[in-house]
Amino acid sequence: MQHYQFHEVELPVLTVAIALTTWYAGIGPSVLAVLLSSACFDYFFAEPLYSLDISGRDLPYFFIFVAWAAIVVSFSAVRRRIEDTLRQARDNLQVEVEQRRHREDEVRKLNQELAKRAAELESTNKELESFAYSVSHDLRAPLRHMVGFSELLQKQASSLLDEKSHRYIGTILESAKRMGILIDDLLAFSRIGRAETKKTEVDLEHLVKEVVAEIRQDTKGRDIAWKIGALPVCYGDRSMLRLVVVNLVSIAVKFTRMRRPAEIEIGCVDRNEKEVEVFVRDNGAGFDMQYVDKLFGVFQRLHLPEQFEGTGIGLATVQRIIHRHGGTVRGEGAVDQGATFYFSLPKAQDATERTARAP
Amino acid sequence: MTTLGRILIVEDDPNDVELTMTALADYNLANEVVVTRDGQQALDYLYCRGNSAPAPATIPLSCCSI
Repeated sequence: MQHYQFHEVELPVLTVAIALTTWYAGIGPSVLAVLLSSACFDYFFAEPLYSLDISGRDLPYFFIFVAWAAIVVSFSAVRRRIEDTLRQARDNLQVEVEQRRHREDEVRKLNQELAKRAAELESTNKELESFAYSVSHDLRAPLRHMVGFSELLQKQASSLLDEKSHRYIGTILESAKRMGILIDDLLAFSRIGRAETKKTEVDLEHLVKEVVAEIRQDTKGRDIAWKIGALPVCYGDRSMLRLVVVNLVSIAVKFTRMRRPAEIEIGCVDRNEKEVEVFVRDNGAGFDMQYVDKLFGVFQRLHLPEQFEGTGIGLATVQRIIHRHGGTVRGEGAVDQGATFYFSLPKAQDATERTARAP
Repeated sequence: MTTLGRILIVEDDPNDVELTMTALADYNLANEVVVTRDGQQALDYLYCRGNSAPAPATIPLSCCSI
């Protein structure tokens, strides 16, 4: 049996042993392995045999061996650490991906729900509108009979009836006709909701002047001071916006009946870059601000029918049209000090840009 | 003397029929009036299915207002 010198075999054999230990067991056991193996080698291979004595000649090799072992251990340790870090990073990433997927699912679910709600709302709205339409349509038939037969009765029995009975029949006819007007208004109102909007650029100033010229024809006997300011071009359905202007101007004309002169001003306030606010101001009967939120309701009236005729559909129509254009309406006023009604609309430039940008 | 044309009324509501007849009578129209209850009957009448009545001269269309 050949005797090996310690320095002849130490590096290759121990390097393999330590590397294997570190690989499978970690730093602690490998340090132990270094110690044990150095003791073993010293015992079995270093001369003299069966002796733990280390000769002075072996000392530098022994140190080289320890240093080499330390390098291998530390490399293995670093490798292990990096591997651990990577594994942890991968796990974290996996968790994050999982969470993100979960969140995405949630967002998708919420989106679907939202779309469903929107569709439901739309169909409910449509149903409501067709309901209003059919109600107002079907209500007309019995009403027609009431008026028709009351008129026939009036004619047939005119010689038999006393003055009181005539008045009763007159009241029946009057009420039925009034109901007819209300139903017509409701029908027209529900049609606004169903009609398609054909949006184009509308020159408000031109529109207002056109409407005012028309209304002037009907108010020739009245003393009205008109004041029309500069108005912008906006974006909307011309015939609907015309209805808004007609309603607001008619309201101003109606409620300034007792004024000499009546003053009606139409102008605009440049609120911000996107919207323009148009107002119609009068010096008429005005209203109590306490009831301002009732003003735009269907058939809501703040004045007695003997004072000012009408069904109370005008401002409701205005509000509905402006809402369909994405604008808002509001009113300001005080009793006997006139009223101002404002409506806002998207500016033409902005609206065109928005349409251009939309996919 | 020329013969008077017939008037065809298509209306399912008897009250409306009565009002129409009264109005026609008020204006002393002596034309013969044919009343059908619905569109199918009216078409049957116009296409002479089941009878050989002459075509009407006038068919008033729904134009109800109070």
